[in-house]
Amino acid sequence: MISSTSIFEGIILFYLFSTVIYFAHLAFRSSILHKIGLVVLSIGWLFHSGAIILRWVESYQLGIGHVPLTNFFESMVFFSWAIVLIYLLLECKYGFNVPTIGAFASPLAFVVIFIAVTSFPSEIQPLVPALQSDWLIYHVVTCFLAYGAFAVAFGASILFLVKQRKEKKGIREGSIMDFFPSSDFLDELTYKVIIIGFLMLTIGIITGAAWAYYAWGRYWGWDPKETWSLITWFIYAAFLHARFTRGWRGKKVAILSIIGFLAVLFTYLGVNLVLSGLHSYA
Amino acid sequence: MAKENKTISAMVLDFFISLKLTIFLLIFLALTSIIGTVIRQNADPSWYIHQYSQTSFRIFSALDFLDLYHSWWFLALISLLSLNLTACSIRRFPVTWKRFCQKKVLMDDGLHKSLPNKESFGSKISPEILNQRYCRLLGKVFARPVTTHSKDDYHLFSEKGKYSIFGVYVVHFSILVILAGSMVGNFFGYEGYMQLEEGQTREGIYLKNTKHFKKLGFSVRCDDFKVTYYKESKQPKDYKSILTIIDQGEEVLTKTIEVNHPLRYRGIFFYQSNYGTTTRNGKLIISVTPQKDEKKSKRYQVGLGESFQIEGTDTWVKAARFIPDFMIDEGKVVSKSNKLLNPAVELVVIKDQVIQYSTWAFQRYPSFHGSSKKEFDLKLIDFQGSQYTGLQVAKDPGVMIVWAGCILLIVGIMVTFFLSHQRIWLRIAAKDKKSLITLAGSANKNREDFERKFGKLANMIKEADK
Ligand code: HEM
Repeated sequence: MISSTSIFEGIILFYLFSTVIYFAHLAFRSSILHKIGLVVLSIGWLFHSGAIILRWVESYQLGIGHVPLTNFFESMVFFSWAIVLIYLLLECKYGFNVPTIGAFASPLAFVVIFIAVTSFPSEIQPLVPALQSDWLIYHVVTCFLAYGAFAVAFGASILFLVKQRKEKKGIREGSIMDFFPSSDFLDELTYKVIIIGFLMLTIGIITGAAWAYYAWGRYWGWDPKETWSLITWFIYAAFLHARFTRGWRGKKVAILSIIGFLAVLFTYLGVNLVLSGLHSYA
Repeated sequence: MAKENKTISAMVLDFFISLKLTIFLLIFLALTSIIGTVIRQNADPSWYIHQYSQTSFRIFSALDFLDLYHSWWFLALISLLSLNLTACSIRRFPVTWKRFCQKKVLMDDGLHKSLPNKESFGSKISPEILNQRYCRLLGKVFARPVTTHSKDDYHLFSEKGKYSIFGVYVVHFSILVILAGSMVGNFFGYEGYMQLEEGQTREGIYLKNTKHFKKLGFSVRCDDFKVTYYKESKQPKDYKSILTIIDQGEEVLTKTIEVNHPLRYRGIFFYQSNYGTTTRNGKLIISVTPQKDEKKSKRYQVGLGESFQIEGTDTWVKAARFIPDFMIDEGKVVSKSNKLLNPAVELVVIKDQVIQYSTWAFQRYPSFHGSSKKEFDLKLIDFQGSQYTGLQVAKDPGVMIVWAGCILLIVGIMVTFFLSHQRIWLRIAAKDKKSLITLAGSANKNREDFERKFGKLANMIKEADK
């Protein structure tokens, strides 16, 4: 039987392919290319979902059954999956009309799964007792859906900044910029995605607290990972409040969204690579 | 809005209520929190001096950077945030309440002008019939309307998600609830540690920060402790303790605990934290082989600190010292951990009450000898000590308040961001036996979604006329 690891390797190709198609779509502005890119990405994502389930099954066959969300490899695979999921949901919501976001989401998903497969060991490892909890699933899934949403928002914010600058200078008809969604739309989209991310991050922090309470006897201990997730939460809370004051619309808010995503990356990777704490990963 | 003659106190008040302060505090809290993740918290002063320098240490401790999250200024920032949030909510609530109570069922021209979404068209059907049709339609696809008949006009008004305008208050209130819960925990709760050997009973714990002994009011006994490992590996899969609670001389509760599955009694939680082996009351199996006659090996069992006589000789061996995880650190013998990872025993050989020599015997390295030319070859075959279980013990009476706040927070965020207060007005004016229909609506949030919904509704209303 084919192993989940080899499917993950295949998915890298799918996402690379869809990235190329999305870029070609931007260059040639053909809506057929958007549709093809979307189909390739969706098929890749279905295989991706299947491979995650397969890995889950495989871990049971090895006698150490656990949900595949327990180390860097598995969490990055899931992160990549979540980015594509959020993008596909956006496509559904906006009537399959946001290809430029896909031109961001697709390469992002590609890079993340590429790093996962090439840089981290893919063996299924036994779990230390602290990770043997149902809270693991709720905590990690919600956190990574949040990360995925923030990644997409990050893409939209960068597009926003680029587009807004060009809009101020005046856009030549028919240029690539003309083809991008309007900055108002991108601003709105960023906000929408961040709301979803913020809700998920809130639930993620709370389920993490509940887990810590049952595993270690305290729900909050200012461990670096916990603190960084709170820092991220503060930044996005600031983002949401900033949107309620009119003066902060646009550029400043987009910058907060970008800073927020950098905080996400640090919470996820930086804390483990630079700082030390109780969390083994994610 | 800023008036020239605004008093200082009004300005101060405005500042405390302002959203600018909120954003500033949120970002400032984020930035200062970073410091505590970069500088290790609550370590020994010598660690900081070694890691940084004397001067840095003094600066850090003056700024409270070494216990940042409990420092007065960090708590002050959080208090300011709570104040900001409370003040804002108190100030805004009357406006929201008014909005909640008001019900503008009649759409006059002024209101019509102010609404963002509108549509109007004519119909040949009489207002009475249209009124009935629209009532049914709105009730089915939106919300049951209130109908008012004034002069010749019919006014329909329906609204949805009215309660969602309180969502923000729920969110802000929930944060206060969480903070309150954590304070209750700080003042009335405690955290500590208890170490129990198999069979041992204790009635108190050592508190985490002060190391003071605290009686629990009942006692805990460890009946058994077990570690299981993953197949063919040294990685522990589970460790479990069977605990019995003894309250006023009676065994009231027995439960197996493991990591992630604590025991709870009288609001006090016992968490499986770690484990190890104690050397106290341990039994050693020592084999003695005479150098001259290797086949005449014999095994002895001896308690720690005790001696045995080698059969047929006048030589005694004393098990002087036992180390579970042998290591030499700066010339001294120490134990690297409390686990039996590299067990070693110091054996003293005595003859005619005179110490001859002493030697270390290692269970893992039986052929290693400090002294090979001796009369006897001494080996450590086994050590049977009792295992102990390490329990984290905590009582936090505020935790339920915190969870309640968390649930409120999640519900509040969903209500605030995913629901909106949507209102639809429909006016059917009679005009020469025909009808002039005016439809208008507004939503307080997610306006783009409402616009789409409104468009669909307008189409349905137009269709209903055919
Ligand atoms: C972390 C602590 C928080 C503080 C100190 C805080 C404080 C404030 C303040 C002072 C306002 C201004 C109200 C006004 O002047 O009109 C405000 C508005 C608001 N806050 Fe918060 N807030 C916090 C957390 C949150 C969270 C977590 C959310 C939701 C996810 C939230 C959602 C809102 C919304 C939607 C408004 C706008 C209300 C409106 O204009 O209708 N807040 N907040």
